[in-house]
Amino acid sequence: MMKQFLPGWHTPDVSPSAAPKAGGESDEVLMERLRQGDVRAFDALFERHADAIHRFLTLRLGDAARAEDLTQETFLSVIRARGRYLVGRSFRQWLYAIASNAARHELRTLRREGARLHQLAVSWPVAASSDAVAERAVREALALLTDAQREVIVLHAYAGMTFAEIAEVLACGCVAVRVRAHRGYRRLRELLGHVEGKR
Amino acid sequence: MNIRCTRALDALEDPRAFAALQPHLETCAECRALVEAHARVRNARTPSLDADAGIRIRNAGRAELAAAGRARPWWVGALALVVVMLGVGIAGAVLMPRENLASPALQIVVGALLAMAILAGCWTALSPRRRWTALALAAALVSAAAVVSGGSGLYPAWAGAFWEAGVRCARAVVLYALPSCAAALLLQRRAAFSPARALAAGLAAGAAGALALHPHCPIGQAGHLALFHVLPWFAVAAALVLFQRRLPRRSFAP
Repeated sequence: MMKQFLPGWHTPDVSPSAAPKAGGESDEVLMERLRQGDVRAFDALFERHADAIHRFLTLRLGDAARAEDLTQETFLSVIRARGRYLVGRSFRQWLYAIASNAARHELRTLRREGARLHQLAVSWPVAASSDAVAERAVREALALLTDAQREVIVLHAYAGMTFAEIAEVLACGCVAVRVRAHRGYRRLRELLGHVEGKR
Repeated sequence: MNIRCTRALDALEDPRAFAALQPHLETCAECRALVEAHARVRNARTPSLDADAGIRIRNAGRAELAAAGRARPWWVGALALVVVMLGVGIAGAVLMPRENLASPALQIVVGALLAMAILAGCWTALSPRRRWTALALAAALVSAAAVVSGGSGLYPAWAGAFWEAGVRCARAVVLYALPSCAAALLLQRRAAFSPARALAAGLAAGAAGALALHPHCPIGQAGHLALFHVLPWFAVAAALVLFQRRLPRRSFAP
């Protein structure tokens, strides 16, 4: 279970959520039932993953309100494209692939409209905690990474996926994922030092 | 960057390997920076989903599920796309006057290769798996080579001037590809944009145009076939990729 530090604020749940919860069915079994149109299966999958997907999208986009809209798009996509789910594939990976695609599409649209990601970072509410400054530094540093680096780092560090899983989610090679992660982490550390040095 | 740095990246995924890496971390500033950056993101706290928003999204999902019929597997769409594209290509080939001066056997071989390119393209365009992309591209390239090399080599005088006849052929390829493009756009909106899949759909649509035109065109010179049969076919594919990139999607599923 996720550990709650502040009301409404969480650290990520990186437990292997594809595994069946105690006494429950696995995500894959629920997805199979959802394919047959079972509403309760959708409710169960939503219950398990909605919050994690919302937090993933918030980190990915730097904007909690947009992340809420994209969480809805992600779960509507699960329903609309449930015929595309391949039996035997990890549901969690499929879900994160959908969320990543939705985020990429959103960022492309924003870029087309001339918006800049680091300007959006301010729309993330600040927690009333002594760590707020450090949290803000992480957000700002993440926003300054390239989209490809941020995508890999959030999936790796926050969603707790392995590089092989990320390669599957992003439909690219494992080596490319590792290179992006390595460069991204290095750049992130530089940026964190820079951002914190300015304060 | 030395090899230990790469191992530090691997060790992030394995607590035991990470523990074994501790002595290295004490001496390698670069690895320490990497591990620290990972920890900062790993421990970042983010706002959880608002309860009201959660209920709203769940209700939207339930409504969507109630409105949707039974889920159809992806290959039903792929078959529908094959029917549309092959239908257009074969209808054009059969209904228009046959003026190709190449031998009927050669025309059948080229037609069969174009049909294969359509099949491979449609399958790749809608398959959630990635492994078909190379097959679709190879099928398109082989059939394009067959179109260019499978002509009669003749240029009858009554066919018209080079550019005039060429523009007529290019226009026919594009016009015959349009219904296929429309069908591909409709079906591919159900998944996230993928350049490879969009390209496969475009190549299949262009192949349908080339299939419709091939038995009709009396000009068998390689230059004409490459410039006015194959080039418009590939241009259709490129246009479909560019167009799809901006198209709103109904789903972001891979």
